Amino acid sequence: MTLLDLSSGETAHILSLEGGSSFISRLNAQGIHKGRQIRKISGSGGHGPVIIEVMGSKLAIGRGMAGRIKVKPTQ
Amino acid sequence: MTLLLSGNPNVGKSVVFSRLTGLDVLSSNYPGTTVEFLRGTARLGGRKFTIIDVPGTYSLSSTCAAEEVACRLLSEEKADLVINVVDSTNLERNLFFTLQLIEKGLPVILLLNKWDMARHRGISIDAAELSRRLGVPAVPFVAVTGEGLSELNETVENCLRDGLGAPHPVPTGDDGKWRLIGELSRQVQKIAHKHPTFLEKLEDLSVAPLTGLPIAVAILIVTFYAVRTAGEALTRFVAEPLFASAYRPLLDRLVEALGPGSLVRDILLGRTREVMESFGVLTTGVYVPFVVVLPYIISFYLVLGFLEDLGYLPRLAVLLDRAIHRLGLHGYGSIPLMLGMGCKVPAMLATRVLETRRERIIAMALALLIAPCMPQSAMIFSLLGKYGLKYVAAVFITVAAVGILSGVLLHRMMKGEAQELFMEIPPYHMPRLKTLLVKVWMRMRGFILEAVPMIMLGILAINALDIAGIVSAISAVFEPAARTLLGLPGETVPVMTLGFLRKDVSILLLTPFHLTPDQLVVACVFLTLYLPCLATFSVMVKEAGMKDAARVALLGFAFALAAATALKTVLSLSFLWPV
Repeated sequence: MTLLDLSSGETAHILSLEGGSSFISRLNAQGIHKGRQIRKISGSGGHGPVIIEVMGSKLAIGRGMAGRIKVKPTQ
Repeated sequence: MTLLLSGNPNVGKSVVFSRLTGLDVLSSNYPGTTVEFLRGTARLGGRKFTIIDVPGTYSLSSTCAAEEVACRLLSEEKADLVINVVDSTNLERNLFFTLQLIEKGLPVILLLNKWDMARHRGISIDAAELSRRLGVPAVPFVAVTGEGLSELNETVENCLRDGLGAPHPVPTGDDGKWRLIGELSRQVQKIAHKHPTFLEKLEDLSVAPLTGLPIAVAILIVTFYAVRTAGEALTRFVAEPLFASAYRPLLDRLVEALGPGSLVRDILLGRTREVMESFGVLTTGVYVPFVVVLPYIISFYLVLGFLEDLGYLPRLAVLLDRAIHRLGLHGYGSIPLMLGMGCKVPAMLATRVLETRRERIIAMALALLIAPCMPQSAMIFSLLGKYGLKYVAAVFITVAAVGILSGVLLHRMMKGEAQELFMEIPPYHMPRLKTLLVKVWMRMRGFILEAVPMIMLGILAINALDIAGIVSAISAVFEPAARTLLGLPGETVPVMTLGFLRKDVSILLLTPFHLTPDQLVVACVFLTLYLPCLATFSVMVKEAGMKDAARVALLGFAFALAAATALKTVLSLSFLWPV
């Protein structure tokens, strides 16, 4: 599943980033990288950017980008 | 010697810069406030340094023009020291850039800024251990108060005397770096669990669409009324009385001294005592900037500064993301638009944080066309307000519609797609009164030093042209076009050509023609849109190149003509609707 499918309030681990190297390094630089735990705050309503919490800070991510971030919910 | 201040966006580099150099610098609570580097000097560790405030960046590979500036400075400027400013409340995320700097072999000193705030949030960092593990000096610091300055001095002195020593090797890949950072933060950082404060709860409420939109609407309405009420109150109760009691008597004495009917007197004091119509450099030229415009500048920047420092602008950007996508921008593009309601010059500069040329051009056009700048708005309020709010609203609504239309059109016409929002959202901070007032003062000073001379120059120019007979010559040529297209008398044309100097002046210069409210509405719309002012245009050329700047300006002119003509036609049909 991707970041889009995650429900608000849920915690997940990042499995992979689907995109070119500049896409990946841009996300990596802000702490979105394989293995990182994140929490989705909002953006499950089907429109508008997804907001996640990473290492205590908040990031807004456009839906297209969010759809290319594969995640696995934390049990 | 040269010292670079670098780090992630919104960690407080500009505040550190002002602390070290004593220079006032604009800072706000959103990423991307500084897009151009700033230079200053300071003594540190007994040596004189040139200090450069580098725009914030997350990595050494740039994704936008502001980051390009940062990367270029870090690789080309032969820095003797690089102070890496990190946000102590956000240590783990900030260390990625630190590792990149160390990897590049730069002489890094780690400055753990916002140390007090970290403590307040229950975050404790072992700075000595962090320094030992990285192999670079680490100094706790509070830029807003100056706490840690003497330790920084000592550290710099030690570094200059003994050299920096070799930092520990850094893993090459991104994943390796993050692994190391994970270990480091487990070893040096402890975070006590705390219940969320009211502001922290408000943070999430104001970005979730369901609660965020009503909050945004409420904030915008309050903003509008606060600016209008405070501006009007300042004019009526401070600026007007001061002008009448302190300045007017001086003028009257000057009138006596100069005697009647001289050319000098006409230019300095104008031909009537009516201050808005005399066009004397010392009468209208002083009254308009200080009594009509300045109060609105103060009230607008008080409110904008409050929202900037609170951290509201990036949240509005998130809420607007979806709507503004239809105009070809992602949410961050709304920040230049908001700045543009104050002045277009910083708005043009702020387009630098956008990733592509296409986005920057759309943002420039939108920022120019979607609303007048504050000096212009103040003139529109002062000229049209007395006929009723509906005339003022007609101007603003038409202008906003034109702006939106231009965005839709550019988005359709230009190749490429809208980029996606990818932005850090900072936590809310209660703004500090002192910082806020310094910011308002800086923007006021900018207006007084840069705009007031231009306003006076504009008034001088129209006097000179009038006396030389050029006004009537221009009027004669453009009379038919002005009359048929805009329904305005030919004498208003020379006024419009002068609007290129300053937009508020051009609207002011309409006063003596005694236009009807409808004509004024058309003229205000046209003058708002038809050209950017000289200062704005020169920044556009610098940012986008002559070609693109000219294209945007031309687009604005075409829209201005079309919108004003259409509006004139609609207003002339108004007998069809009973009001």
